[in-house]
Amino acid sequence: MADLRFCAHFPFSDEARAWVREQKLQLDVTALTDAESRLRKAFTSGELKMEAGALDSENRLQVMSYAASRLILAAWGNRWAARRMAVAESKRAHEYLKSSEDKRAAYADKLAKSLGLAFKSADASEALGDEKSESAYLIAFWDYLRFAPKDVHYKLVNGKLEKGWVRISDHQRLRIIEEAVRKRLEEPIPPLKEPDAEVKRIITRLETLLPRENLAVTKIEMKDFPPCMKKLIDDLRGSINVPHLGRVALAVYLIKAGLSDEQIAQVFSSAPDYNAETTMYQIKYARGKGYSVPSCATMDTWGICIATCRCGSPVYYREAKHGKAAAASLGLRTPHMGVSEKSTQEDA
Amino acid sequence: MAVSPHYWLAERFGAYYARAQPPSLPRLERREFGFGGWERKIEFRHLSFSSPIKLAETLAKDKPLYVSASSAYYEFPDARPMVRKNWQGADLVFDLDAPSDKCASGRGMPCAPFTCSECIHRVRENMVRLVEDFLLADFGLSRNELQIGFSGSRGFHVRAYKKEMEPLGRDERREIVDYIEGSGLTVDQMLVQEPIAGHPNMYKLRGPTPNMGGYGGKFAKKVVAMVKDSATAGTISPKLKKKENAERFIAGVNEGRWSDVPITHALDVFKQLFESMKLSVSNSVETDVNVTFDTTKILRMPDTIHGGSGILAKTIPLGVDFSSYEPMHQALAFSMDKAESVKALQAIPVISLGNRTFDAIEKDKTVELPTAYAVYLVCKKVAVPI
Repeated sequence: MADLRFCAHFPFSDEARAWVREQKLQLDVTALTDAESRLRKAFTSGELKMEAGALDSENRLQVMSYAASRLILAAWGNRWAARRMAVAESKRAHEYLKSSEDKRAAYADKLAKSLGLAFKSADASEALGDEKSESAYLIAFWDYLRFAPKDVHYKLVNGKLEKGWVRISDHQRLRIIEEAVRKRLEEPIPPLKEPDAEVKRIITRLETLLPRENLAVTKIEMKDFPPCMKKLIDDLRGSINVPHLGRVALAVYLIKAGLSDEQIAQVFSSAPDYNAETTMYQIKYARGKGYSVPSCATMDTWGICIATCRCGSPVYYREAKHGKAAAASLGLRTPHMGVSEKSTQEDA
Repeated sequence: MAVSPHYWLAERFGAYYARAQPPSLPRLERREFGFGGWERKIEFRHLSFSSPIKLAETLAKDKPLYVSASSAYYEFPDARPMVRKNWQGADLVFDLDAPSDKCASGRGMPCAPFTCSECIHRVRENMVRLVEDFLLADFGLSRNELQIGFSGSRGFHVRAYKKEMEPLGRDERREIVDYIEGSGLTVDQMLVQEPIAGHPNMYKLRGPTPNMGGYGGKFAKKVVAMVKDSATAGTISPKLKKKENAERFIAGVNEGRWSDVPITHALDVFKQLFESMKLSVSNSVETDVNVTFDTTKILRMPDTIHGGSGILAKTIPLGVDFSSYEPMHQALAFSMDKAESVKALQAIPVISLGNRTFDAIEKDKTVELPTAYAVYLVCKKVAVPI
């Protein structure tokens, strides 16, 4: 007998999927309508709220709406949509895991297991300092490396590694589970060849919510960008989730390159968890603070240095690559770094 | 007429492979191979072999001077371009080499192209630290999951085989290297000075406890171990040579108090100790970190001959103590008995090989030498066969 509440909270879990298969239910109009609103919410706000599900019938509907949303994504084949959903669904799962109800039911253990993640409970008395009373867990370092957020606070060198196990707090454990969920949902969905007419209609309606193509507008001269910045932009364009510090580095770089807040926001608009308001706030904040572009060494510690250009700082890349004359000519440029994307392709 | 050095070496390498135990690696059929000759270390790549025996047959027939294999496993190891190989995972590999522009002997001149025993010992010490302090202690690997071997030239290769680590990508492998290098960590993050009320120039020192785990715990453990040992306690402070002081100091550190026994210039002393704990792979030794990150690279196949030395990139057997392994004496492919005639192209210094020390050789002099040493000099391009 499936635990319907677990299935509703974590509709991507093996248990929920098995339940859907067992029911042999056709995805009806109700499920498709619910799914459309689920996708719509995630596309516009970047998040999905938890829903109270005391009744089995409510839980059932939630599982079905998730299953229908995956069917729509399978028929659609849009990368941005799939990644945006992966972020929203994994954040929602995290919210559930934090709830006292899920804690009582030890759903984190169950979900972790179904994701192939093994946590051991560590002797809490050994946990010292910043995690005083929080219960501590151990995770195998390879799982930690694969699923911990790409963030300076989760760098292994700052962590507690012993005999192959990394000691983490309960909070970190839930965050790692969230990442594992996101990664699983980002895996390619097998395409659905012949969707029915209703699914096609929903896709047409949802297409209006996709971020607009903005390459022609921003006019970034990509060939002058160092590989690390190019990679960050490419990742954003491909709707790959870029870690927070990567976004900071890119935003500061683009500010220094003379782009306007709006132009920078457009670069970020294809991020899977894009939220127009937050993004604009953060760009303005970074501009106000007058941050300088992180050096190569800092980029390296943040885990976003990807090349061996070793130019000292991304701002010196152009100089290092093309010589001093190039640096001087950059100084003469108009605020928007001038040339359009098109000229980059011609150069290539 | 004198034979070409390349031909002369190839004949000997081929003969070695025809009689030697076929070199092997786990899941050899899933790996990409590359061969090199006199001009380049990798002339052909994208090769694959269905078994160690098939590989050995080809080595005996084609007689390459260099044999490289991928740390990666592929569905189609011989497919091109790289993406069509379909990467399935990779071993975790470390490549530690003695720098070629410096010599550990302190004699001033770099020993390269030869490798002096001081250089080998320096790299070996780092290899031992990598294995014992990091791979075994922190990463929890066991000795039988590691393959440790001579690189064939100026260093050692350490390969870790563990199913769970195979899928790790470039970024995750970089995290492992950052950990080993203690990248970005300073002692200031570990030890905090707390002012003492009413004493403006005095402070208390708070720090990690030995049971904390991570670099903090590692650091505290190391300091406690040093203080416990009367032979090393003095290097931290002469005060700690006294047993009661040492005990008081340790009891404090166990509780996170690092100044129960006040130590002169404590922060400087601990800073130096802390830095020595990291395995600085870029200063004392050259670790080609790209080998660890780059999961598509091919590198020297264990138990094949290195064309730059004629010495085997020999795997150190599990029962042999890797901390005292002497590759210049224990990893030879060729005989120390048979004699070959070679002519020196330049002055050759005194060199030790195969448990013998050979006198310096003058330029243009023709000498008769044991095969292993003759091959070594021809590989180094400082002598030619006659």
